[in-house]
Amino acid sequence: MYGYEMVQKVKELTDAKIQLTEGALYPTLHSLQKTGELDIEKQYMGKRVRKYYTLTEQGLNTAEKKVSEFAEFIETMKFLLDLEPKMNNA
Amino acid sequence: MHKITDQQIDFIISDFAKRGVVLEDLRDNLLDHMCCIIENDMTESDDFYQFYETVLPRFFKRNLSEIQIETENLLRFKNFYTMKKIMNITGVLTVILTLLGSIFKTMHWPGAGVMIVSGGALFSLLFLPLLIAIKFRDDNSLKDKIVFSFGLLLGMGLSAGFLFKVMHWPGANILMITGTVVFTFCYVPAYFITRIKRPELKFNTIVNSVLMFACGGILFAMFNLHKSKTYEDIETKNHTEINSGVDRLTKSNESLYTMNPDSLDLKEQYELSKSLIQKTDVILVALDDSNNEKAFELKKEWKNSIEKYNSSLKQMGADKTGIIDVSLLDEVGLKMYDDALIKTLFLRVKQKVAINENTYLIAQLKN
Repeated sequence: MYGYEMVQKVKELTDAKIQLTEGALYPTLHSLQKTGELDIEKQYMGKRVRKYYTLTEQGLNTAEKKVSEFAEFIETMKFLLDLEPKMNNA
Repeated sequence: MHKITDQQIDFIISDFAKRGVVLEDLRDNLLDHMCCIIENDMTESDDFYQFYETVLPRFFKRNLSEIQIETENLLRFKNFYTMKKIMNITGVLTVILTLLGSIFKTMHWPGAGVMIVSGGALFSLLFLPLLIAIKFRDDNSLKDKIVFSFGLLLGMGLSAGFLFKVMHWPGANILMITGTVVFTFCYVPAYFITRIKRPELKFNTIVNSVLMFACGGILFAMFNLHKSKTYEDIETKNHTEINSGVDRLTKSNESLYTMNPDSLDLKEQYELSKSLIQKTDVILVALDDSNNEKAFELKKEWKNSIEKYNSSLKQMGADKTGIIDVSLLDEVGLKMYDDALIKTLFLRVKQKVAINENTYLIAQLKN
Protein backbone atom coordinates (compact mmCIF):
# COMPACT_ATOMS: atom_id res chain seq x y z
CA MET A 1 0.00 0.00 0.00
CA TYR A 2 1.35 3.49 -0.78
CA GLY A 3 1.01 6.64 1.30
CA TYR A 4 -1.99 8.22 -0.40
CA GLU A 5 -3.77 4.88 -0.40
CA MET A 6 -3.24 4.54 3.36
CA VAL A 7 -4.73 7.98 4.03
CA GLN A 8 -7.75 7.13 1.88
CA LYS A 9 -8.18 3.72 3.51
CA VAL A 10 -8.16 5.12 7.01
CA LYS A 11 -10.57 7.86 5.97
CA GLU A 12 -12.91 5.30 4.43
CA LEU A 13 -12.77 2.86 7.35
CA THR A 14 -13.48 5.56 9.93
CA ASP A 15 -16.09 7.50 7.95
CA ALA A 16 -13.57 10.35 7.74
CA LYS A 17 -13.44 10.62 11.53
CA ILE A 18 -9.72 9.92 11.51
CA GLN A 19 -7.65 11.60 8.85
CA LEU A 20 -3.96 10.88 8.70
CA THR A 21 -1.93 13.97 7.97
CA GLU A 22 0.98 13.83 5.55
CA GLY A 23 3.19 15.51 8.13
CA ALA A 24 2.68 12.63 10.55
CA LEU A 25 2.47 9.75 8.08
CA TYR A 26 5.67 10.07 6.04
CA PRO A 27 8.17 10.69 8.86
CA THR A 28 6.72 7.61 10.61
CA LEU A 29 6.93 5.49 7.46
CA HIS A 30 10.58 6.45 6.94
CA SER A 31 11.43 5.70 10.53
CA LEU A 32 9.67 2.30 10.46
CA GLN A 33 11.47 1.46 7.23
CA LYS A 34 14.81 2.26 8.84
CA THR A 35 14.09 0.13 11.90
CA GLY A 36 13.22 -2.80 9.64
CA GLU A 37 9.48 -2.93 10.34
CA LEU A 38 8.60 -2.05 6.74
CA ASP A 39 9.81 -3.10 3.32
CA ILE A 40 9.40 -0.99 0.21
CA GLU A 41 8.93 -1.69 -3.43
CA LYS A 42 9.38 1.16 -5.87
CA GLN A 43 7.29 1.65 -8.95
CA TYR A 44 8.54 4.22 -11.43
CA MET A 45 5.80 6.19 -13.20
CA GLY A 46 7.54 8.62 -15.56
CA LYS A 47 9.07 11.28 -13.37
CA ARG A 48 7.24 10.00 -10.30
CA VAL A 49 8.19 7.18 -7.99
CA ARG A 50 5.53 5.38 -6.02
CA LYS A 51 6.59 3.41 -2.99
CA TYR A 52 4.54 0.44 -1.87
CA TYR A 53 5.00 -0.41 1.78
CA THR A 54 4.63 -3.92 3.22
CA LEU A 55 5.15 -5.16 6.77
CA THR A 56 8.22 -7.33 7.26
CA GLU A 57 8.08 -10.32 9.59
CA GLN A 58 9.49 -8.17 12.37
CA GLY A 59 6.91 -5.51 11.49
CA LEU A 60 4.07 -8.04 11.69
CA ASN A 61 5.21 -9.12 15.15
CA THR A 62 5.52 -5.53 16.33
CA ALA A 63 2.10 -4.68 14.89
CA GLU A 64 0.53 -7.64 16.63
CA LYS A 65 2.15 -6.65 19.91
CA LYS A 66 1.16 -3.01 19.60
CA VAL A 67 -2.44 -3.88 18.64
CA SER A 68 -2.83 -6.18 21.62
CA GLU A 69 -1.29 -3.54 23.92
CA PHE A 70 -3.72 -0.98 22.56
CA ALA A 71 -6.69 -3.36 22.93
CA GLU A 72 -5.71 -3.97 26.50
CA PHE A 73 -5.47 -0.23 27.08
CA ILE A 74 -8.95 0.28 25.60
CA GLU A 75 -10.34 -2.46 27.84
CA THR A 76 -8.79 -0.83 30.87
CA MET A 77 -10.18 2.56 29.93
CA LYS A 78 -13.62 1.08 29.33
CA PHE A 79 -13.53 -0.42 32.79
CA LEU A 80 -12.04 2.67 34.38
CA LEU A 81 -14.53 5.05 32.85
CA ASP A 82 -17.38 2.64 33.45
CA LEU A 83 -18.37 2.64 29.78
CA GLU A 84 -19.84 -0.85 29.99
CA PRO A 85 -21.63 -0.91 33.34
CA LYS A 86 -22.01 -4.38 34.75
CA MET A 87 -24.89 -5.48 36.90
CA ASN A 88 -22.86 -5.31 40.09
CA ASN A 89 -21.35 -1.91 39.80
CA ALA A 90 -24.26 -0.11 38.19
CA MET B 1 -9.73 13.23 -13.66
CA HIS B 2 -6.77 15.47 -14.38
CA LYS B 3 -3.66 13.90 -15.87
CA ILE B 4 -0.63 15.54 -14.38
CA THR B 5 2.08 16.66 -16.83
CA ASP B 6 5.88 16.36 -16.56
CA GLN B 7 6.12 20.12 -16.48
CA GLN B 8 3.79 20.26 -13.49
CA ILE B 9 5.83 17.55 -11.75
CA ASP B 10 8.99 19.61 -12.29
CA PHE B 11 7.21 22.61 -10.82
CA ILE B 12 6.19 20.65 -7.71
CA ILE B 13 9.73 19.25 -7.25
CA SER B 14 11.31 22.68 -7.46
CA ASP B 15 8.68 24.16 -5.14
CA PHE B 16 9.31 21.42 -2.56
CA ALA B 17 13.05 22.11 -2.76
CA LYS B 18 12.40 25.83 -2.27
CA ARG B 19 10.32 25.04 0.79
CA GLY B 20 13.12 22.98 2.32
CA VAL B 21 12.27 19.39 1.39
CA VAL B 22 15.45 17.97 -0.13
CA LEU B 23 15.57 14.39 1.22
CA GLU B 24 15.04 12.40 -1.97
CA ASP B 25 13.01 9.58 -0.43
CA LEU B 26 10.69 11.95 1.37
CA ARG B 27 10.37 14.23 -1.64
CA ASP B 28 9.35 11.25 -3.83
CA ASN B 29 6.68 10.26 -1.32
CA LEU B 30 5.26 13.76 -1.00
CA LEU B 31 5.38 14.25 -4.77
CA ASP B 32 3.41 11.07 -5.42
CA HIS B 33 0.97 12.02 -2.68
CA MET B 34 0.43 15.47 -4.14
CA CYS B 35 0.03 14.03 -7.66
CA CYS B 36 -2.59 11.55 -6.38
CA ILE B 37 -4.59 14.35 -4.72
CA ILE B 38 -4.41 16.49 -7.85
CA GLU B 39 -5.37 13.62 -10.12
CA ASN B 40 -8.29 12.56 -7.94
CA ASP B 41 -9.69 15.82 -6.62
CA MET B 42 -8.91 18.47 -9.24
CA THR B 43 -11.62 19.13 -11.81
CA GLU B 44 -10.89 20.10 -15.38
CA SER B 45 -12.08 23.65 -14.72
CA ASP B 46 -9.64 24.16 -11.81
CA ASP B 47 -6.35 25.96 -12.33
CA PHE B 48 -3.41 23.69 -11.48
CA TYR B 49 -1.33 26.30 -9.64
CA GLN B 50 -4.25 27.62 -7.63
CA PHE B 51 -5.34 24.12 -6.72
CA TYR B 52 -1.77 23.19 -5.72
CA GLU B 53 -1.56 26.24 -3.44
CA THR B 54 -4.83 25.34 -1.72
CA VAL B 55 -3.88 21.67 -1.19
CA LEU B 56 -0.31 22.20 0.02
CA PRO B 57 -1.15 23.73 3.43
CA ARG B 58 -2.83 20.44 4.36
CA PHE B 59 0.65 18.90 4.56
CA PHE B 60 1.97 21.04 7.41
CA LYS B 61 1.20 23.37 10.30
CA ARG B 62 3.73 26.17 9.71
CA ASN B 63 5.85 25.22 6.71
CA LEU B 64 6.66 22.21 4.58
CA SER B 65 10.19 21.80 5.89
CA GLU B 66 8.80 20.63 9.25
CA ILE B 67 8.04 17.23 7.64
CA GLN B 68 11.70 16.85 6.71
CA ILE B 69 12.84 17.98 10.18
CA GLU B 70 10.49 15.50 11.82
CA THR B 71 11.71 12.71 9.53
CA GLU B 72 15.35 13.51 10.25
CA ASN B 73 14.63 13.61 13.98
CA LEU B 74 12.91 10.26 13.89
CA LEU B 75 15.71 8.71 11.84
CA ARG B 76 18.49 10.21 13.92
CA PHE B 77 16.82 9.50 17.23
CA LYS B 78 15.47 6.09 16.48
CA ASN B 79 17.01 5.11 19.79
CA PHE B 80 15.45 8.07 21.56
CA TYR B 81 13.47 6.00 24.04
CA THR B 82 16.43 3.72 24.76
CA MET B 83 18.51 6.82 25.40
CA LYS B 84 15.90 8.17 27.79
CA LYS B 85 15.76 4.84 29.58
CA ILE B 86 19.56 4.62 29.93
CA MET B 87 19.60 8.21 31.17
CA ASN B 88 17.02 7.42 33.86
CA ILE B 89 18.87 4.29 34.96
CA THR B 90 22.25 6.05 35.10
CA GLY B 91 20.63 8.91 37.01
CA VAL B 92 19.27 6.58 39.68
CA LEU B 93 22.55 4.63 39.82
CA THR B 94 24.55 7.85 40.20
CA VAL B 95 22.41 8.93 43.15
CA ILE B 96 22.65 5.51 44.85
CA LEU B 97 26.40 5.09 44.25
CA THR B 98 27.34 8.61 45.34
CA LEU B 99 25.16 8.50 48.45
CA LEU B 100 26.40 5.06 49.51
CA GLY B 101 29.95 6.06 48.60
CA SER B 102 29.82 9.17 50.78
CA ILE B 103 28.43 7.18 53.72
CA PHE B 104 31.20 4.58 53.28
CA LYS B 105 33.79 7.31 52.93
CA THR B 106 32.61 9.03 56.13
CA MET B 107 32.72 5.72 58.00
CA HIS B 108 36.09 4.77 56.41
CA TRP B 109 34.65 1.48 55.18
CA PRO B 110 36.28 -0.23 52.22
CA GLY B 111 34.74 0.22 48.76
CA ALA B 112 33.95 3.92 49.16
CA GLY B 113 36.41 4.98 46.44
CA VAL B 114 35.06 2.52 43.88
CA MET B 115 31.48 3.66 44.50
CA ILE B 116 32.23 7.36 44.31
CA VAL B 117 34.42 7.01 41.22
CA SER B 118 31.90 4.88 39.34
CA GLY B 119 29.05 7.19 40.42
CA GLY B 120 30.95 10.24 39.21
CA ALA B 121 32.01 8.56 35.98
CA LEU B 122 28.43 7.46 35.23
CA PHE B 123 27.19 10.98 35.90
CA SER B 124 29.77 12.85 33.83
CA LEU B 125 30.27 10.35 31.03
CA LEU B 126 26.78 8.89 30.48
CA PHE B 127 24.07 10.85 32.24
CA LEU B 128 25.10 14.37 31.24
CA PRO B 129 26.03 13.61 27.58
CA LEU B 130 22.70 11.79 27.13
CA LEU B 131 20.90 14.73 28.68
CA ILE B 132 22.63 17.06 26.20
CA ALA B 133 21.59 14.86 23.26
CA ILE B 134 17.99 14.60 24.42
CA LYS B 135 17.72 18.30 25.21
CA PHE B 136 19.06 19.10 21.74
CA ARG B 137 16.17 17.24 20.24
CA ASP B 138 13.51 18.82 22.47
CA ASP B 139 14.71 22.44 22.50
CA ASN B 140 13.81 24.49 19.49
CA SER B 141 15.80 27.65 20.07
CA LEU B 142 19.46 27.54 19.06
CA LYS B 143 20.39 29.97 21.85
CA ASP B 144 18.84 27.65 24.44
CA LYS B 145 20.70 24.70 22.99
CA ILE B 146 24.05 26.50 23.17
CA VAL B 147 23.50 27.79 26.71
CA PHE B 148 22.23 24.43 27.93
CA SER B 149 25.11 22.46 26.40
CA PHE B 150 27.58 24.95 27.82
CA GLY B 151 26.01 24.44 31.24
CA LEU B 152 26.14 20.68 30.95
CA LEU B 153 29.78 20.68 29.84
CA LEU B 154 30.52 22.84 32.87
CA GLY B 155 28.59 20.37 34.99
CA MET B 156 30.77 17.58 33.67
CA GLY B 157 33.93 19.53 34.50
CA LEU B 158 32.66 20.46 37.95
CA SER B 159 31.59 16.94 38.87
CA ALA B 160 34.98 15.65 37.71
CA GLY B 161 36.57 18.33 39.95
CA PHE B 162 34.54 17.25 42.99
CA LEU B 163 35.39 13.63 42.25
CA PHE B 164 39.12 14.44 42.04
CA LYS B 165 38.89 16.40 45.28
CA VAL B 166 37.15 13.60 47.16
CA MET B 167 39.68 11.07 45.85
CA HIS B 168 42.67 13.38 46.59
CA TRP B 169 43.74 13.24 42.94
CA PRO B 170 45.95 16.04 41.60
CA GLY B 171 44.36 18.84 39.57
CA ALA B 172 41.15 18.86 41.59
CA ASN B 173 41.42 22.45 42.73
CA ILE B 174 42.03 23.91 39.30
CA LEU B 175 39.04 21.95 37.86
CA MET B 176 36.74 22.98 40.69
CA ILE B 177 37.74 26.60 40.89
CA THR B 178 37.64 27.19 37.12
CA GLY B 179 34.35 25.32 36.89
CA THR B 180 32.74 27.29 39.71
CA VAL B 181 33.98 30.66 38.50
CA VAL B 182 32.83 30.05 34.91
CA PHE B 183 29.51 28.68 36.19
CA THR B 184 28.78 31.58 38.51
CA PHE B 185 30.06 34.44 36.40
CA CYS B 186 29.45 33.24 32.83
CA TYR B 187 26.80 30.52 32.74
CA VAL B 188 24.28 32.02 35.18
CA PRO B 189 24.30 35.46 33.51
CA ALA B 190 24.01 33.82 30.05
CA TYR B 191 21.08 31.71 31.28
CA PHE B 192 19.41 34.77 32.76
CA ILE B 193 19.87 37.03 29.72
CA THR B 194 18.66 34.47 27.17
CA ARG B 195 15.50 33.65 29.10
CA ILE B 196 14.36 36.69 31.03
CA LYS B 197 12.76 38.34 27.99
CA ARG B 198 10.35 35.47 27.46
CA PRO B 199 7.25 36.11 29.58
CA GLU B 200 6.40 32.41 29.98
CA LEU B 201 9.84 31.69 31.43
CA LYS B 202 10.32 34.87 33.44
CA PHE B 203 9.40 33.57 36.91
CA ASN B 204 11.31 30.30 36.57
CA THR B 205 14.34 32.11 35.18
CA ILE B 206 14.50 34.47 38.15
CA VAL B 207 14.11 31.67 40.71
CA ASN B 208 16.63 29.37 38.99
CA SER B 209 19.18 32.13 38.46
CA VAL B 210 19.02 33.20 42.10
CA LEU B 211 19.40 29.58 43.26
CA MET B 212 22.31 28.88 40.89
CA PHE B 213 24.01 32.14 41.75
CA ALA B 214 23.69 31.45 45.46
CA CYS B 215 25.06 27.90 45.11
CA GLY B 216 27.93 29.06 42.90
CA GLY B 217 28.72 31.91 45.28
CA ILE B 218 28.76 29.65 48.33
CA LEU B 219 31.03 27.14 46.57
CA PHE B 220 33.32 29.93 45.41
CA ALA B 221 33.53 31.35 48.94
CA MET B 222 34.41 27.93 50.31
CA PHE B 223 37.48 27.51 48.09
CA ASN B 224 39.21 30.38 49.83
CA LEU B 225 38.62 28.94 53.28
CA HIS B 226 41.93 28.34 54.96
CA LYS B 227 42.61 27.04 58.42
CA SER B 228 41.46 29.20 61.28
CA LYS B 229 43.89 31.86 62.51
CA THR B 230 44.21 30.16 65.93
CA TYR B 231 45.13 26.87 64.28
CA GLU B 232 47.72 28.54 62.05
CA ASP B 233 49.17 30.37 65.05
CA ILE B 234 49.55 27.10 66.95
CA GLU B 235 51.33 25.56 63.97
CA THR B 236 53.70 28.50 63.64
CA LYS B 237 54.40 28.45 67.37
CA ASN B 238 55.11 24.72 67.18
CA HIS B 239 57.59 25.27 64.34
CA THR B 240 59.31 28.14 66.21
CA GLU B 241 59.59 25.99 69.35
CA ILE B 242 61.19 23.08 67.49
CA ASN B 243 63.51 25.45 65.62
CA SER B 244 64.68 27.25 68.77
CA GLY B 245 65.18 23.85 70.46
CA VAL B 246 67.36 22.76 67.56
CA ASP B 247 69.31 26.04 67.70
CA ARG B 248 69.98 25.64 71.41
CA LEU B 249 71.09 22.04 70.92
CA THR B 250 73.35 23.02 68.00
CA LYS B 251 75.00 25.72 70.11
CA SER B 252 75.55 23.31 72.99
CA ASN B 253 76.96 20.77 70.49
CA GLU B 254 79.39 23.39 69.18
CA SER B 255 80.81 23.81 72.67
CA LEU B 256 80.98 20.03 73.09
CA TYR B 257 83.04 19.81 69.88
CA THR B 258 85.52 22.34 71.24
CA MET B 259 86.11 19.96 74.14
CA ASN B 260 87.11 17.23 71.67
CA PRO B 261 88.76 19.18 68.86
CA ASP B 262 91.19 16.53 67.69
CA SER B 263 88.96 13.59 66.95
CA LEU B 264 88.86 13.03 63.17
CA ASP B 265 85.68 10.97 63.44
CA LEU B 266 83.98 13.81 65.18
CA LYS B 267 85.18 16.30 62.59
CA GLU B 268 83.60 14.27 59.76
CA GLN B 269 80.39 13.76 61.64
CA TYR B 270 80.27 17.45 62.48
CA GLU B 271 80.54 18.42 58.80
CA LEU B 272 77.91 15.88 57.77
CA SER B 273 75.43 17.02 60.41
CA LYS B 274 76.07 20.67 59.66
CA SER B 275 75.51 20.26 55.92
CA LEU B 276 72.38 18.21 56.51
CA ILE B 277 70.93 20.86 58.79
CA GLN B 278 71.80 23.55 56.24
CA LYS B 279 70.19 21.63 53.39
CA THR B 280 67.07 21.08 55.46
CA ASP B 281 66.99 24.81 56.19
CA VAL B 282 67.13 25.63 52.47
CA ILE B 283 64.14 23.34 51.86
CA LEU B 284 62.28 24.95 54.75
CA VAL B 285 62.90 28.41 53.27
CA ALA B 286 61.54 27.20 49.93
CA LEU B 287 58.46 25.85 51.72
CA ASP B 288 58.05 29.16 53.54
CA ASP B 289 58.00 30.89 50.16
CA SER B 290 55.36 28.36 49.02
CA ASN B 291 57.83 27.23 46.37
CA ASN B 292 56.98 23.54 46.65
CA GLU B 293 58.41 22.75 43.22
CA LYS B 294 61.84 23.97 44.31
CA ALA B 295 61.52 22.12 47.62
CA PHE B 296 60.66 18.96 45.70
CA GLU B 297 63.80 19.33 43.55
CA LEU B 298 66.00 20.03 46.59
CA LYS B 299 64.55 17.04 48.39
CA LYS B 300 66.26 14.64 45.92
CA GLU B 301 69.75 15.79 46.87
CA TRP B 302 68.75 16.10 50.50
CA LYS B 303 67.80 12.42 50.50
CA ASN B 304 71.34 11.51 49.31
CA SER B 305 72.75 13.44 52.26
CA ILE B 306 70.42 11.56 54.60
CA GLU B 307 71.66 8.24 53.25
CA LYS B 308 75.27 9.33 53.68
CA TYR B 309 74.48 10.48 57.21
CA ASN B 310 72.73 7.22 58.10
CA SER B 311 75.57 5.04 56.77
CA SER B 312 78.12 7.10 58.67
CA LEU B 313 76.03 6.61 61.85
CA LYS B 314 76.08 2.85 61.25
CA GLN B 315 79.85 2.89 60.72
CA MET B 316 80.30 4.68 63.99
CA GLY B 317 78.20 2.03 65.69
CA ALA B 318 75.75 4.60 66.95
CA ASP B 319 72.38 3.77 68.44
CA LYS B 320 69.91 2.54 65.80
CA THR B 321 67.23 4.88 67.07
CA GLY B 322 69.31 7.71 65.62
CA ILE B 323 68.78 6.54 62.03
CA ILE B 324 66.69 9.06 60.09
CA ASP B 325 63.64 7.60 58.44
CA VAL B 326 62.24 9.65 55.55
CA SER B 327 59.48 7.23 54.60
CA LEU B 328 56.81 9.52 56.07
CA LEU B 329 58.01 12.41 53.94
CA ASP B 330 58.09 10.20 50.87
CA GLU B 331 54.56 9.09 51.60
CA VAL B 332 53.06 12.56 51.89
CA GLY B 333 54.98 13.90 48.88
CA LEU B 334 55.25 17.64 48.64
CA LYS B 335 52.30 18.52 46.49
CA MET B 336 49.06 17.26 47.87
CA TYR B 337 49.35 17.71 51.61
CA ASP B 338 49.24 20.48 54.10
CA ASP B 339 52.41 22.58 54.00
CA ALA B 340 52.54 22.88 57.79
CA LEU B 341 52.66 19.10 58.17
CA ILE B 342 55.52 18.82 55.66
CA LYS B 343 57.39 21.59 57.44
CA THR B 344 56.98 19.78 60.77
CA LEU B 345 58.39 16.59 59.24
CA PHE B 346 61.49 18.42 57.95
CA LEU B 347 61.96 20.19 61.30
CA ARG B 348 61.83 16.83 63.03
CA VAL B 349 64.72 15.64 60.84
CA LYS B 350 66.75 18.70 61.90
CA GLN B 351 65.87 18.03 65.49
CA LYS B 352 66.90 14.39 65.23
CA VAL B 353 70.29 15.27 63.73
CA ALA B 354 70.98 17.68 66.58
CA ILE B 355 69.87 15.16 69.23
CA ASN B 356 72.02 12.42 67.65
CA GLU B 357 75.02 14.70 67.68
CA ASN B 358 74.42 15.67 71.27
CA THR B 359 74.00 12.08 72.47
CA TYR B 360 77.14 10.99 70.64
CA LEU B 361 79.27 13.89 71.88
CA ILE B 362 78.23 13.36 75.49
CA ALA B 363 78.99 9.62 75.20
CA GLN B 364 82.46 10.51 73.80
CA LEU B 365 83.14 12.85 76.70
CA LYS B 366 82.19 10.19 79.23
CA ASN B 367 84.74 7.86 77.67
